[in-house]
Amino acid sequence: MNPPAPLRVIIVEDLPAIRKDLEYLLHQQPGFTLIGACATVREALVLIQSTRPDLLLLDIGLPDGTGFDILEQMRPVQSKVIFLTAHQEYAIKAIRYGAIDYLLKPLDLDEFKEALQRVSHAQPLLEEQIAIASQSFRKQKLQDNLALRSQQCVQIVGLEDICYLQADNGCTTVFLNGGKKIVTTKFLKDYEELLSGTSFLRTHHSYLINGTYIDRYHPKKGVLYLKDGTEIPVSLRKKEIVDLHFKKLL
Amino acid sequence: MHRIFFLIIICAACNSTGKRSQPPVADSMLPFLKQRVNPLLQNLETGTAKKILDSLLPFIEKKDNYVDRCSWLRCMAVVYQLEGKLDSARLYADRSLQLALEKDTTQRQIMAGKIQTADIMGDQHSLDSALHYGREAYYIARNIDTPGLPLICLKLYNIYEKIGDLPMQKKYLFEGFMRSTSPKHKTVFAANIAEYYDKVNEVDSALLFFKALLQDSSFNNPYYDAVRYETLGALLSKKGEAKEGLSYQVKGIAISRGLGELNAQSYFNLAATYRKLGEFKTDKALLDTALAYVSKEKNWALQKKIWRAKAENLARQKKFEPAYTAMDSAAFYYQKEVDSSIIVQARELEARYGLLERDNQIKSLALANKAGEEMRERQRKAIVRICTGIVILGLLLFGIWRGKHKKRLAREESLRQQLLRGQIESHFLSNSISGLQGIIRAGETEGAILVVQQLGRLYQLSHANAREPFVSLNKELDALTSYLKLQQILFYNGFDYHIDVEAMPEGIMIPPMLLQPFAENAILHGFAGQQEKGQINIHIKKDNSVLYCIIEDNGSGFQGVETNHNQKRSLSTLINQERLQILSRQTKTAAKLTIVDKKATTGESGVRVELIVPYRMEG
Repeated sequence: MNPPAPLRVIIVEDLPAIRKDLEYLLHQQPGFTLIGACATVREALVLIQSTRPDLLLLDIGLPDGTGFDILEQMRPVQSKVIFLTAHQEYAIKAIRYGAIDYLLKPLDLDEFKEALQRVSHAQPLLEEQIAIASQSFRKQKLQDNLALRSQQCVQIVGLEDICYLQADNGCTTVFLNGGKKIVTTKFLKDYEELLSGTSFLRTHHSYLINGTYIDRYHPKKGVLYLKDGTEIPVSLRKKEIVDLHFKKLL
Repeated sequence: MHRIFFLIIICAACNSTGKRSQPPVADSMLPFLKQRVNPLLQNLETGTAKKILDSLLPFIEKKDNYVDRCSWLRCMAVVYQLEGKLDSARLYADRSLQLALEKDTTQRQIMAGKIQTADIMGDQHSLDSALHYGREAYYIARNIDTPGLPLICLKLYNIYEKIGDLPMQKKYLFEGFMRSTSPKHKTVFAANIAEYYDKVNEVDSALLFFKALLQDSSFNNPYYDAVRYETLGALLSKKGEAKEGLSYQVKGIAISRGLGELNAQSYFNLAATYRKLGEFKTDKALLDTALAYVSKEKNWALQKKIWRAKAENLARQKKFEPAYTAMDSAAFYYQKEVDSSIIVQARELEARYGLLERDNQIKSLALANKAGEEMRERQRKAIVRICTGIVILGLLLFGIWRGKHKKRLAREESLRQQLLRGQIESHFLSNSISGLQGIIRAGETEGAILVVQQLGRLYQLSHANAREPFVSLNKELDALTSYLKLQQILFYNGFDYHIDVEAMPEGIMIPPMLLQPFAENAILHGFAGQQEKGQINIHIKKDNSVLYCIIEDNGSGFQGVETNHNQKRSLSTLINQERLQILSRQTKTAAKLTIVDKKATTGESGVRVELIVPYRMEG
């Protein structure tokens, strides 16, 4: 049985020193082969068009644009993508909304390996993922949709359709309105971070609740009832947060 | 005859008012003038009075008190007035008034001066002017509430009598009478009121007043007595009580004779009484005496009356021939009287007319004055408003200027910080470090050491520089060099640079971080994706108060830069553009930033940035 064909990789990074570093690191990873590297959006588009790579290592900030510009112009997207970014809060959040993989610069070797392993099994990006991420990034405003990635697929859901999220053994189950649920591979903490500043409320170390679905609250019992009758526990440590939430509503 | 009273009483009144306004003045001349000079004037001893006044002059001059001086001048005026030297009197009165107008704040000396001037002018028959001064004195007197007011009323009455305005005469006589506080004054007014009644043929009323005079024994003065007795006698005789009248008349005439004050009217009046009593001889003798007096006085009316009286006398003695002759004479003098009265009437008309004109003038003057005052008031208000406006505007502008100035400084500060932050927080630091990581992983120790060195130096310099509005050119160039060296390594020698500074004096200071963003643009944007090796040339030269800085590269120019892809490039450009504008305003020197794509000018590829930067000298 032949080993699977190596993933063909293109690096888009404007600083030569970093580009060289990426080339160097990639070179050491089995199953990946570098087919090109460039520094600008313009070069990248030409290169991608001609080589059809399996994986893009994509810097967000480029001299003549951003990594999102490249993704938006290469349709249909047939590549997996790992974004490269310095610690830019907003860009990272946008990327996570789209459930796209990313790496922080300066690069950590372990993270790099892990990310490569993860994408090697993943599907190419959905256009919706790109749209959510790039719109969030462009407009500096998070979108109303979220890309949820499960083992099998990526699913786009509206934030208003999510009733609550439950932590489940290192994964997170997202309960949607209508009874549907999606098991994602991310920690609940990731979602709490991602959804901070929205209507979501962490009532328990295992629960993140969409406030709009709360029906009533029993402070003494420490229980929240959702509109569909689901009982959600409120932990003692989170009680204050919940109380505050209700005070604001009043 | 009552005129004498006026003069004296006015003189006294003014002095007393003057004294009132200047309470106890040590060694004041006033009591002396009052006690020594007034009686002399009252008795018409002008020669003696003059001597005393002359002797007082040195003291007056020495003391230099305007009240004393005004009083003295007025006394002199009275002396001359009594002597009939009206021009001289006027001179002294004028000087007194002048002095009072200059010095007097109590108005009392002014009032006294005015009424005296009015009096003298009345004697000079300048009735309109006299009335003008008299009225002014009257209004002052009413304002300051002085015991002199009755005397001013008397004075005005006198003037109106000369003019012939009966209602006004009556008005002032009665006002004076009512306001008089001393019996002396009251008596004078009563006498004049009696005379007035006589004039308008209300003999009963006149008698009533005159009898009232007799009740008053508080005042003893021969002139006064003479007038009192004579007038009362004449009035009684007119009423038919000839005998009672005669006794008064004789009494009065005896006093007058003693004073040498006998006149035609007195004799005429006495003769009339005798005539009524049927003593024609005495009557005739008296009438002849009266004629002798009257020929001196040129009083045609009286002369006519005397002649008529003579005719009556003769007729009653049945001597008709001489009676006719006497009537002829009377007719002759009547003609003369009519002639002269026409003249007088003409003069009166003239005076009245003058007065009217004067009144109108005064009215229009007052009106103009009022209008002028209003105008001035408006102008004053306008000026005040304008001034206030200007001040407020000034403050406002100053405030705005200061605010702008502060804002400019604050803005410049924030822009500088923005550039610094841009440098530290942007990709630059993380890119540098990421790049450094790569270099280390590649085992290029020398390169890694260089990166750390330059990075350290650059941050030290940028931090120090960005805190100051101006830094020395050398330090700024050091920072620029460090930056270029660092980037050279991180870009794997993707470009070369050359910095060329023309000879210039030490101590030139420029705003920090002006040049570096343009070098950065060249490296990050100009050279990106370019095959050809990049080249940056920086040229700096001094020209008077500005530095010319040229940053040239051979990069890709502006192609694609117009799109929003190159926000960072245009952002730093915009920031520096604004900083240069602020700098230009602060230093009042032209500052300029020009960026051209050389493709459009020389046809080469790349960007040429020209900066005109005002500089300062250290210290």
